[in-house]
Amino acid sequence: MKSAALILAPLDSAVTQRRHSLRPRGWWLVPVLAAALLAVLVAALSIGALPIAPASVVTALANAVGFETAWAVSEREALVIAHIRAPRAIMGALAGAALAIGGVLMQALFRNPLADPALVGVSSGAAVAAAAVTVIGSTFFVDLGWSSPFVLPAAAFVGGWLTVLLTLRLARSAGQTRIEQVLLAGIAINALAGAAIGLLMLIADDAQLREVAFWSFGSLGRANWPSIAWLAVALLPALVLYRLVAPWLNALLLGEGEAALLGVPVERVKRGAIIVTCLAVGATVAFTGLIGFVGLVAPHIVRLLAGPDHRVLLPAAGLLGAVLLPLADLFARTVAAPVELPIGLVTALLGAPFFLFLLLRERREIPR
Amino acid sequence: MMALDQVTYERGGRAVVRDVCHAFTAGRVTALLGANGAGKSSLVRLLSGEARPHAGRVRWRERCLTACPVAEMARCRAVVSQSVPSPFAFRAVDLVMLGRLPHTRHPDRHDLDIATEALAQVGLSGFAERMVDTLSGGERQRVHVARALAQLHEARRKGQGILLLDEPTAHLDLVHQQRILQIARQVAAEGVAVLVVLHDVNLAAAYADEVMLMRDGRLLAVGSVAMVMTCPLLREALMIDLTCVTPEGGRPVFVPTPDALQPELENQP
Repeated sequence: MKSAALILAPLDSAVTQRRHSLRPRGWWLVPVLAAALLAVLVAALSIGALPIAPASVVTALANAVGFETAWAVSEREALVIAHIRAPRAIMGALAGAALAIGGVLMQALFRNPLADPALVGVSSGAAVAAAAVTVIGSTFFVDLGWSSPFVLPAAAFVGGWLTVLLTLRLARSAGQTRIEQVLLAGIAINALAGAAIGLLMLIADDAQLREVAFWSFGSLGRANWPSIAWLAVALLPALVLYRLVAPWLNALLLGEGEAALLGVPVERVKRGAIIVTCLAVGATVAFTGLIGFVGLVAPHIVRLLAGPDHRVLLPAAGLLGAVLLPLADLFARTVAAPVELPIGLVTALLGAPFFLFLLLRERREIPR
Repeated sequence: MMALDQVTYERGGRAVVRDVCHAFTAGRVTALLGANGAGKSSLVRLLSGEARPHAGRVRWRERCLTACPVAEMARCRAVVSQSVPSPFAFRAVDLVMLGRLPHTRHPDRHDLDIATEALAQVGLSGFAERMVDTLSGGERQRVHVARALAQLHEARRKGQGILLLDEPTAHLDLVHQQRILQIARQVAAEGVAVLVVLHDVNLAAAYADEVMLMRDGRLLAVGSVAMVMTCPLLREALMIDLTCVTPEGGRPVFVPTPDALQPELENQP
């Protein structure tokens, strides 16, 4: 019985339907940022105490991969590029990408644009381990000391991971990782780590204190090819998995319950995202120390330009991080040359006011 | 299709769904009526798998729902919840495209056409490129219904699947209330089982094939409109006196009787 034959005006006709683009909003940002990354890398390789012409930089890069160009590059320039500037610039790009991708993943998981990889304790755990190795390690195991450039990164990486595992363990109940519990456990563990670092600094001597302070502001000064290789390996899962998880992360924006109703394996995505983040950010923190604000600013800028679609947000924020960090490093080593500023100081000094500027601008746009 | 076998569900030590048995049939619109706190939303949550019964089972085609993989269920079951958070800058079409996620990770033209069609069905063609957070509550509600339609596209073609709508008319104007229920009828006609939680008895009377009345977590009555939607039963379920005005050959229409509130029924635990 179709007594419900209410006469309703037709709302849409098929004729008025527009064909929409399949491309996610803001897709153009990815190629633009890729080009910007190339430009920044060339700039980072040519600017410094020994100025090298961009043409020579391109030549050196071409030679390195077995091509010839019409330009010449002196042996000294080639050495500076290969051993000092290129490792630094590439390390900066990889670290920036890792921090930004980690930021995007955590923000998706917490459904909060202010989330940061540091929330799950990876940075503070790494910092405690690094401080412990610096202060206690060099006191008791002198021969471990700085003779091996990998002791500190290895310790920081392991420290970061142990902390994350502890946070996750605390936040797990009945086979589910409760995200709000991750946040609370992370806050407690971050506080604990801060206290541990404070204690270690109390018993440290002056040189160790400076070392710990320097590390906690971050630096690309120790960049070398082997550490770049390690960092690239740690970033690999993020690069391989992003196309797979991006649609799932979009669904997760609706909430975990809704995402599950859309067939998203929520528990696996959550754990996977945390593991990928900690792998990338843990390795970054281990090699560069604590560099703040990139994980917050890069995703935020991309969201303003392209919206929250992770199919664009993940690669674009990664690329933007890779652009911003070498830029910040360029600034850090040229602004007061020959004195070099810690890069974490630069990202905070430039990043924090910029972030505030963005927030104020947004507030003006959306009157409440 | 989907069935409830003596399902009991507790919340905070209190049974909010008690011993409910019912089998949903393909091709039917089932309206679920009941006062606030009668257990309607909990029943929907049990069917959507968000809640698990403390006793009894929820079955999907002879299998226990807990044994059905979420990815498989997402292809044949769509849910429009009471309030889905969407305070972010997605376009309406992006949100509808999320309904294609159970079917493909990398949507193509075909999926986009399905999404566009779903938006047209809820009367939002012109809103596809609008940001979700700039839409009104009712428009947003319809975007979520469109998402469910896009999600069930294949299930509708095959004439199987279930659509759960938890108070889909809550934020809608009169036209769109009717429209959403017409869509529900249309989806049911394609062979999908549709469950609609409603507060408006007249919408239920006008559109449902089958009505479930709940009170205090129990299934008070279930059956056709003519059988279940009687003033005594509705009075018992909804705690209000209604007068039935049935137009010639039409479905019943209910209006509250003057002084309809039953003071003795208020403030009961």
